[in-house]
Amino acid sequence: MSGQQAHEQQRASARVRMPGQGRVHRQWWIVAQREMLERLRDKGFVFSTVFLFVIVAAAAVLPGLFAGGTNDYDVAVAPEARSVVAALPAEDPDTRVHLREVADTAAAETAVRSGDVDAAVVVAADGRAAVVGDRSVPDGLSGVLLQRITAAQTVAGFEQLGVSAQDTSRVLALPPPEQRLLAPDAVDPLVVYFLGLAFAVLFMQIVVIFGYSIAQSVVQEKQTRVIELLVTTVPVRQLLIGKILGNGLLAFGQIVLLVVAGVGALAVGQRELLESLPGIPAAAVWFLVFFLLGFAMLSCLWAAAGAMASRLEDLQSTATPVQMFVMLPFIATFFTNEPGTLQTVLSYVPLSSPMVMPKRIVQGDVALWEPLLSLAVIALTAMVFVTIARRLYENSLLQTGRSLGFRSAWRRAA
Amino acid sequence: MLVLDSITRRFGERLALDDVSLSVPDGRMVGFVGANGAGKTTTMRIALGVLAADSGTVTFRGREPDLAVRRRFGYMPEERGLYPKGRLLEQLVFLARLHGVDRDAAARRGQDLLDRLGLGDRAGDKLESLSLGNQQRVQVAASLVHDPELLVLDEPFSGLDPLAVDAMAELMRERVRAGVGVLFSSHQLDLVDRLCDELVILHAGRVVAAGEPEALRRERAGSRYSLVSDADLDWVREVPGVRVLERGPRGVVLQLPEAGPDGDLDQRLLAEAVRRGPVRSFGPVLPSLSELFQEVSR
Repeated sequence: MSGQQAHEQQRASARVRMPGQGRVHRQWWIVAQREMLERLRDKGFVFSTVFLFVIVAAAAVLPGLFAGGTNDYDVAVAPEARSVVAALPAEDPDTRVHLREVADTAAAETAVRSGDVDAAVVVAADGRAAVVGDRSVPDGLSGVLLQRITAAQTVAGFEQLGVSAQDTSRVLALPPPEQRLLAPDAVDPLVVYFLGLAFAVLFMQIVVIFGYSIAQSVVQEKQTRVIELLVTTVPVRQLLIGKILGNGLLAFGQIVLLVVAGVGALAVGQRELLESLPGIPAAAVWFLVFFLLGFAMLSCLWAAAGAMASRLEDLQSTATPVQMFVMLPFIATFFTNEPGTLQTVLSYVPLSSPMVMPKRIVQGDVALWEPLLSLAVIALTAMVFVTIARRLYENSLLQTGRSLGFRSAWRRAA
Repeated sequence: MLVLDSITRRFGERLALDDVSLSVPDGRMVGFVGANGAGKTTTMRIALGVLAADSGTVTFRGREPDLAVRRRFGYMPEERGLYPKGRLLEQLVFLARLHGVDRDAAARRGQDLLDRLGLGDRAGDKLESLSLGNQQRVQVAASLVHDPELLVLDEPFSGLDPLAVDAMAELMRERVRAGVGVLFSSHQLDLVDRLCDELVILHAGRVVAAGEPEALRRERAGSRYSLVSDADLDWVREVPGVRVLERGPRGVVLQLPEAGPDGDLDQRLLAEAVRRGPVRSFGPVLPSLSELFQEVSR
C-alpha cells in the first residue's frame, strides 16, 4: 500500500468517525485528561502530595504517641530511706518504679547527677525525707514517691500514737474519691480549635495551589500560543470546563487523601479522642462536600485571572484579587473559634462557609438544614462567578499582547 | 474551495484589511505574499474563525463554516504554539482527538507524520528538548495530524533548514494531490514561485494582484525585451524610442516604449537584428516574482 493510499484510507476513516454534525464528543474530557497527566507528571506535585500526606498523618498520630503509655523510672534509695519507699497496693500501673539501693545519701546524689537514675529518696538525720532530682522530677514519678513516703510516715506516726500499723494501712487503703463529670461529652475547645484550623488551612492551601495551577495552565496556553490552535477546534466553554475539571479532580483527590489520612490516623493513634468527638467523621464528609462546591466556585475565577495575564510574570498581579477572595475569609475564620453570631454568619457567607461550617458541625448543635442551606448559597454564588469568569476568560483568551485590566476584559465583547 | 469575499477588518482606528477577496480551490496551492503588516496573518485568522471580520463573508464549499467545518481545517499559526513540556506524540494525539479523530487512529497518524519528518525516534521526547527547527517540524505535524481538508499555513518555511523545507514542501504537495486546498504565506519568494499554483499579493490590507504567477508576470511584463545575437548590437542604441537597460557580452535587455503608434517596433527590431547576423533569442522578459512584488507593493 503506497503512502498516499494509506492516507486516503486514514482520511476516509477519520471522516467516518466524525459524528454527523461534526461534533467531537467530550472535548472537555480530553482537555481535562491532558491537564491531569501534566500535573501528575510534575515531580513537585507528587512530592508535595506525599509530603502533605505524611504531615497530616503525623499531626494526628504523634501527640498520642507522646502522651500515654507506660513509663519506667529508676530511683536510688539510701539505706535510711528504704522503709519509706515500699510500694502501695493501689498505684498507677503505668508508672513503674524500680528501686536501686545505694550506700548513702552522697552516693544517691551522685547517681542522680550522673543520670543513672531519674530520682533518689533520702532521709536526713532529723528524719525528714526528700525526693532528690537533678533539674526536675517527672510528674508521674514524683506523685508516686510522695504518696509512698506520706503513707509510710503516716503509718509510723500513728504507730507512735498507739494505733496499729494494720489499722492505719486499712484506713489508707480506702478507695480514692471517684471523678464524676456533669458534661462528659462537651467538646474540648482546644481540639475544636485545631480541627477548625486544619479544615481552614487545608481548604485555603489546596484552593490556592490548584487555583494557581489552573491560572498558570491558562496563561501558558496564551503565552505559547497553543490557544490559537485550540480555539480552532474547541469551544472556549469546553476548554474552561476541561481545565477546571482536570485540576478539580486532582484537588479533590488530594483533599480526600488528606482527610482520610487524618481521620484514619486518629482512629489508629488517638482512638479516645475520636470517640470523644463523634462528630469528626461526619464533619470530615461535610468538609469534602463543601470543598467540592467551594472549589468549583473559586476555580473559574482563577481561570479568568490566568486569561487576563499574557505572560506568567503578569499572573501575580491579575491573580491577586482572586487570592484575596481566599485569604480574607481564611483570616476571618480566626475570629470564629467560639460559637456566636459571627461564626454563624460566616458559616453562610459563601467564601468563608467551607472553612467555618465544618467546624460548627464538629462543635455539634447544627441542624441538617444548616449545611445544606450554606451549600445552596455557595452553588448560587458559583453560578454568578462562572458567568462573570467565563466572559472575562472568553474576552481575554486571544488578547496575547498585554495583560488586561478587569474593565477592558469585561468590556471587550460588549 | 475556501472563499473570502470582501473582508474588512479594523483594529481600532487602523484599517487592517480593506475589501480582501481571495479563494483557495480544492487541490490547489495558493501562495500568499505581502510585506510585514500587510494583513496576511489577520486574513488567515479570519479564514479560520479565530478572528471575526467586521464585514464580508467566509465560505467553504459554499457554506459559511461553523466550528464543525472549521475543525476539518489544518492551521499552522505564525507564532508557533505547542506545549513546551508535552511529549511529541502525546501532543499530536491530543490535538487530533480534539479534532474528532479517535485515539488509535490519532496515534498511528501522529507516529507516521513524525517518521516522515525524521522525528520518529523522538516521539516520547518533550518538545522543549528539540532544536527550534525540529520543533517547527512538530508544528507542521500538528497541522496535519487530523488529516484536514483545507490547510492554512502561516509562514510554514520560516526557520526551516533546506532539508526541512523540502520535506515540508513535499508534504504540502502531497496534500494538494489528495485534493486539499492549501493557503500558505511566505517571504521566500523563490519558494513561493516554485510551489504555488496561484498567487495572492497583499499590500497594506488590499489584494493588489491575484492569479497564476505566470499569467501575472505576462500581464506585468510590459515592453521589456531581451535580444541575444552573435553580431555586434551597438546599433540598437540608435533606434529611436529604445532604451538599453542592460548590456552583456552577447545580448542586451531593451526597454521599448509602451505600445503606441509604433506597435510593431518589436517586429522591426527583430527583422533588423536578423539582417545583421544570427539571432539566438528574442522575446519579452518576464519579471521575477520579487520584481513583480516590488512593483505592486509600491
